[in-house]
Amino acid sequence: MDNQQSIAIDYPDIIGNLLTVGIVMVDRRFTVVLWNRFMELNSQIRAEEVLGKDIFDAFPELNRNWLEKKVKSCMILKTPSFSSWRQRPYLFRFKASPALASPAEFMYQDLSIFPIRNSEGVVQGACIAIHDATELAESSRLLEQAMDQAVDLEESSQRDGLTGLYNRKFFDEQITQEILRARRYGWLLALAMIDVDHFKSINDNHGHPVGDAVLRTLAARLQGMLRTSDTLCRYGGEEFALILPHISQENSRFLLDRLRKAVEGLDVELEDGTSVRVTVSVGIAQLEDGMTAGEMVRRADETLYVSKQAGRNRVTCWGD
Amino acid sequence: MTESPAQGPLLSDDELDLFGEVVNIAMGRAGADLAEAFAGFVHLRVPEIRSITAAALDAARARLMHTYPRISVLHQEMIGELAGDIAVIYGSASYAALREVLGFDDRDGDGRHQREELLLELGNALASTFVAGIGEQLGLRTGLRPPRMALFDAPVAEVAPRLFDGSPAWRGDTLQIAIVFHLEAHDVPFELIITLAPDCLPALTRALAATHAHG
Repeated sequence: MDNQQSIAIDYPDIIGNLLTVGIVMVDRRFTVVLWNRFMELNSQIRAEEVLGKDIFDAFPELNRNWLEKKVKSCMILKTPSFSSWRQRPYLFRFKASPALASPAEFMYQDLSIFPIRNSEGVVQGACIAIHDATELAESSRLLEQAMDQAVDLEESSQRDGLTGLYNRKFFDEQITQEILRARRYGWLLALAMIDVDHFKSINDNHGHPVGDAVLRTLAARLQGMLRTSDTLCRYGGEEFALILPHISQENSRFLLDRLRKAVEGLDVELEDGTSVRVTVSVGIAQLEDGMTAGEMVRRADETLYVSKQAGRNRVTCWGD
Repeated sequence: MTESPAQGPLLSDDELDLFGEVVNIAMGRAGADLAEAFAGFVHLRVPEIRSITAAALDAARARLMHTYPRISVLHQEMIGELAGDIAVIYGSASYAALREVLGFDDRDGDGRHQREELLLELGNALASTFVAGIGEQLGLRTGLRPPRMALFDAPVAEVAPRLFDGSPAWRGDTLQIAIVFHLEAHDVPFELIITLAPDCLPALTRALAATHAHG
């Protein structure tokens, strides 16, 4: 071996022994003319078993219409065509490597299909190159899963476990944001504090599970009657806070009175067949110049106290 | 993004005329090849070659915002002696019309992935034949990487401001080739936009000179 150029190179053998890329060549009639080592090892079908056969006879599970159209247009256009695991997970169903950190069900495949020409440049068939994309596909899947979990986690850290409403922590952040927004754009903003009347006696007479059921039913009922811009939060115990953007004092009084009446007509069914009726008292405060979130909550709480003092099951606005 | 100072035109009038001819021939061939390859026709309008500056980028965005309520965008990289970015902008597509033109059946359903595949197939076929036609005429070695969906059926008002962010060929002045096309029996116009990488302009100028000398 004194001169490298004197080596007679067997090019098909090089492709044949390529272990990282699957190479399948078909002629214009879809007869298999090359089936390399990658294909032999992954399909466990030897080249001599498929060479000379129609690819669709040898592999009836292939999507014939799709592959035929794809290969034919590539032969006519004389340019490469591609297929990604993102849209079409695989062409040949092969086992994925069990050595991967997260074992996949099958081998994800990226394909490139390009025309093969004879020495005169005339297209004789097409070559399908198959790249194992399992590691990429699996990493993408794991990344998406982790991102979904992060979103879920953030969502659940903002929710109250019993009622599914936003929790106190979320309320504290949201009311501050809403005040800033209202101030910036000159919008109206109202805050209502809603408290269940005689809740302690419900718990004492029927037990805490019934108290919990009352809170859940109430939360669902109120939530169902709100505008999309409104934010209902469980403020603590049997008290709810409702943030109402773009609303005047009169309209908020009207809206809250509707909610109060809806609760008044609500029967919470108990397991023993009986039911409990509850009412709510409401206090409303409107955002005024220079007011902080703490001051707004304090005003709404004070008007709620006025409703309680006046006999409960009623709505009071600051300044009434 | 700021507009770069004027440094004279990217191509002289003669070069631009020559390149225009090359691009028109490439488009004619692409149209004929696509007609042969597919079951239905893809109608191509005459390509437009333009110099692109920051101001033109804004104009292009404004036009897209005006043209389509929702868009899908295919992105593909052109590499080699003629390099750049390829974007195919699809307005609200009729997938039935696409399937008809491409001749694909419904065996695998009509989900998002099948729809994306139709857009990728059409975009790649058009871009690759067109680019191959230009490369062959100019004797420049070029090729395309696999295409990917940058956006799928997204509301344009949300995405237009960042539509071409992060595509390196858009920085500085360069040439852009745009072809508006539509499918047979489907009036919604689509657009293929090829933005050349500024650093391959010298090779393009040399190739145009050589073509001119031989032609």
